Amino acid sequence: MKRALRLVAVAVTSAVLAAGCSSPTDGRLDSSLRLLDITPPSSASASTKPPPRPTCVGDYTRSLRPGGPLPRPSDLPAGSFMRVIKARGYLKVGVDQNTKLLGYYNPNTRQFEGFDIDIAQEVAKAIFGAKWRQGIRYVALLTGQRFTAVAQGKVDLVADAATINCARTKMVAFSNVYFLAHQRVLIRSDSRAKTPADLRGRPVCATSGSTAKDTFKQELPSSVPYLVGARTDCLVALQLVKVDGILSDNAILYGMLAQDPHTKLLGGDDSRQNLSNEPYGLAVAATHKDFVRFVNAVLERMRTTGRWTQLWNTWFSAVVHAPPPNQPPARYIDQAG
Amino acid sequence: MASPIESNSLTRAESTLTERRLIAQNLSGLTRRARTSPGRMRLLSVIAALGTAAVAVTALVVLHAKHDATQFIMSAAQPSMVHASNAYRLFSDADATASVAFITGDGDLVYGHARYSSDLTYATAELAGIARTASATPDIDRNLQLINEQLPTYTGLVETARSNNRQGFPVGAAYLRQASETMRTTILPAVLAIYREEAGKLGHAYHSGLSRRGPAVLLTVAAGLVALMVITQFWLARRTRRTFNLGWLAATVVIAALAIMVTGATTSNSHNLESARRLGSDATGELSSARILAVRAQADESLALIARGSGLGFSQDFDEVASRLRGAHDDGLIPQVQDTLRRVGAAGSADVFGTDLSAFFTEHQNISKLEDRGQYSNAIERTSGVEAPRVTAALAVLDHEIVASQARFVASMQRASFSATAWDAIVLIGAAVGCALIAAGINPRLREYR
Repeated sequence: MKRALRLVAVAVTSAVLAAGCSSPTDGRLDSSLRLLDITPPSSASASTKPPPRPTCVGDYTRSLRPGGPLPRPSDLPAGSFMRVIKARGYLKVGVDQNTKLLGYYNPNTRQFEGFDIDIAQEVAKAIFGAKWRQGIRYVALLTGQRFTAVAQGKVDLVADAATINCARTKMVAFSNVYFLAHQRVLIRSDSRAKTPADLRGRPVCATSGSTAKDTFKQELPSSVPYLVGARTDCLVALQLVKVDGILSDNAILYGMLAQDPHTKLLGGDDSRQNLSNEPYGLAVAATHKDFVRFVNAVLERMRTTGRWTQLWNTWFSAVVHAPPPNQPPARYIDQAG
Repeated sequence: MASPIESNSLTRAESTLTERRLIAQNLSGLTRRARTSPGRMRLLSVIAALGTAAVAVTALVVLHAKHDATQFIMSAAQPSMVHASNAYRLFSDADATASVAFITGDGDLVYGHARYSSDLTYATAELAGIARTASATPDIDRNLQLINEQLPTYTGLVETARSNNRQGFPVGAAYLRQASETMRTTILPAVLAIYREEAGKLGHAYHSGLSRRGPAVLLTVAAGLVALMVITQFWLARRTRRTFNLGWLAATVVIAALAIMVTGATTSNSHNLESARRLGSDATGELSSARILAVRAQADESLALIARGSGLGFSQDFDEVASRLRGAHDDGLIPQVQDTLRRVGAAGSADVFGTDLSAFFTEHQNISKLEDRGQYSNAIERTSGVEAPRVTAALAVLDHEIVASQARFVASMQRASFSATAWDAIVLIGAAVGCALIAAGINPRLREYR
């Protein structure tokens, strides 16, 4: 009897111990929930490594001289890059799609539109003649990709408010200056600011990675920089009263003026209020020297035909209350001085 | 003459001594009596009756624990989890609707507005549902408040995007991106925090409902009692020269039957809880996650197409979401969901869903190629004409299966639930009958010794 009782006791203890190890949940619900935890994309562009400052001797905006008058579309020189483009059937142009008046995708017309787009179209016309409309395709590029895209041949030409600077001339070849922009400050219409000094201690927006950061130190040293990833984000910040001004190129600010009638340029159309010179050039792969000369010939022809002024009026006369500027003069590498 | 105090303390000491002696006498009396046959019979009967009571109490504790867990899962934990899951799904859907409409030429949300606004209306209703069902923790309150604060900001940004788009202003796209970022960086994480907390509560409830500890203790106590009673009956058979003690035999059968019935009920409950969890709750969570990620991938693609020229990370987000859906070696959420669907007998849905989503990823590549080749308008036409219908089809399958998995949950939980009152009655009556039978079995034998 005692032995039997002891057996029962042993059975009880072992069963209780065994029950202690009940199966844990397999956590399938939790694992499918964990998949939803994604760090969202941030609006600020990835931090760019500090660029090495290369040095340039003389005027780095000078470009290659055209080999003569612009050839007719049917007469493109044999073996030239223009022939390659023509054989392919279309010119690939890298553009922006959010900068009104310069380069933007109009969701209503489903077309790319703007001054930069029209300049690129002039190049397409020179290659394809009357059938140029089928001869041009646009690739919307990230701002940071513009020069690698053209250097790697993803596009033939970049027409995207690209300021010619010394570092960039080491990566790609530029055409002659086709637009001379200047940095300015855009403010709300009801702002009482008259000069940059009036924005002392106030937040001013700029695109991170743009040349505006340098201008900040010189012209707006006591304003508070508010850096965003995209150009249009600055207009949002201004409209939502997160900033009191936007520091950017006037060509870009004109597009913002066109989208918001309750804004104005600090100092109005007075060119003495320009904070910097931003010479825009069309970027071409450094190996396609013949194409650079060809593009420069297109720009020369626009000067003689008055097409450049015509395009400027088309895009900017509604927002700029001043006569059109002159097309920037051509300056060539073989030119003295 | 001693002082009264001394005499008192003396008396107390004497009385303590007397008590000890009495207890010792009683104990020795008890052991002496236990050595006699009738004494041993009485003792064993008392132990058997106490054991029966112990079995009854254990059974009641186990049954009530299971019952409470089942009720909590059915009426609180799962509904809260589903509310949170729905809110997350609807908010992501609103975000995607606004973005996709924009790229497909409906930037003014003319056609998409019905879906966008119904998403937000239902999402706020689901939040109210959370506030109603969730046992309000400070974390949940804080997150609900955060969502309520951010929602007007979000809708304001979307409305500004609409009015700018209507005029063909590219700043509309910037507003839309900011709206999406507000959704993704403030509202959705707050909903996800609530979702995870509710899923955690549900997991705990399942864990305690599925615990095998209680039933094991019950079985051991009952087995011990039955063993003791069987041994007693062998002893009685030798001592009384009767083969069976009918009362004790019946009591043994009643106690064993009671333990087996209660164990059976808890096993069936566990079995149904397990299938409610696997085929209901887990499947709902899995399918919702797949739906949310598919919609996010579609929104990412649209936002990336819109945001060109702005250096934004929506393409990276697409790649991240795609890798979570597809996995590196067929171990992503898509194969997992397909596996689940096949297990519940929805192989057809598994195939359709898989085909549509892989068509979506193929189309995404085609669209990227078109875009790279400078055929931007064609790329955009392809998103609305070819790609969007595949996503819509995949989402329809997922929606259908989410409803089906909810139905499976409800069916399993109905099978799992039982009436606690009915079982209280069964256990108490069983125990009373058992005790009565023990007494009825031993009394005639005791009378023989008088």
